[in-house]
Amino acid sequence: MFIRSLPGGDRRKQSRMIDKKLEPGIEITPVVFELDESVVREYIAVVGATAQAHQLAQTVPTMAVAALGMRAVLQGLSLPHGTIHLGHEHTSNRAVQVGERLTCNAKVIRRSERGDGVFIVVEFGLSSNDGEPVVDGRATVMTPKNDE
Amino acid sequence: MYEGQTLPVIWKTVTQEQINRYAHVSGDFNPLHLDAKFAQNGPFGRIVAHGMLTLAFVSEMLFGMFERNWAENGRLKTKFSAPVYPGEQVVTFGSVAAVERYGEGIKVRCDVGCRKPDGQNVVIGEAWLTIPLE
Repeated sequence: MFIRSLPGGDRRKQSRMIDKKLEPGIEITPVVFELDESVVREYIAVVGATAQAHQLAQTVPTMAVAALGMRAVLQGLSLPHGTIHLGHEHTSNRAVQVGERLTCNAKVIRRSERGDGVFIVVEFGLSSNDGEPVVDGRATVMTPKNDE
Repeated sequence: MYEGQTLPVIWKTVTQEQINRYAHVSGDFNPLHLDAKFAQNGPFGRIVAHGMLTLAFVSEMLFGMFERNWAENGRLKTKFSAPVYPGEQVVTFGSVAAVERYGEGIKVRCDVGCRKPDGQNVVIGEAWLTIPLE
């Protein structure tokens, strides 16, 4: 899947690089994804999605788009190895077509500690080239306390 | 469409090869999913599948039932309640919990999830979507 960071990312959004803790308000540098046909086909082959229906409609499976959001969250926040995904929600605002280019933003909205874990809730949103919201969602993850 | 209607189930066997391929296509290379030595010292004691991979099976079930409407306006809210290990079989489940008139369409809420053959839930949650009336 073609993926790149937008050039000249806002320095404030790169605060994760210098802040140790994932505090609420921290944002990732926006990430641009292009949903090219070969990778959508590979996604469908891996998860075994209803390939024929998607191929006929030239739409991208909803979970492939949501997975892009998670990818941006994982990489943008530099979540440590051993992070566990506890909960996930997302809303589709429209079908995504193969070949579309989407921009993903994400922001930490909640952080709490319990036992040996740090629980983090992240909101993410994917929008089209003209800023139209396409998919938005929320992920809850737990990171090992000492690795945050 | 009626309350209590069940959604068509999907059976899957999750393999390590599938997990490896999912890591590449999703960009999620967390060693909990890929590195047996690392995973041995993790919370599950062995490699586990990506939650998003299991959740994709639930979404596939919803797409199979609602087709384009699911892709156009579906909403999913779920929790990952247990790990899935390579080699394990899982099956999706779902039923229509509520149907109500909403503007020019109907709003549908479903209870959905995925479980192991012994009944242990691995994903559990709800899905919503609106279906336009023709």
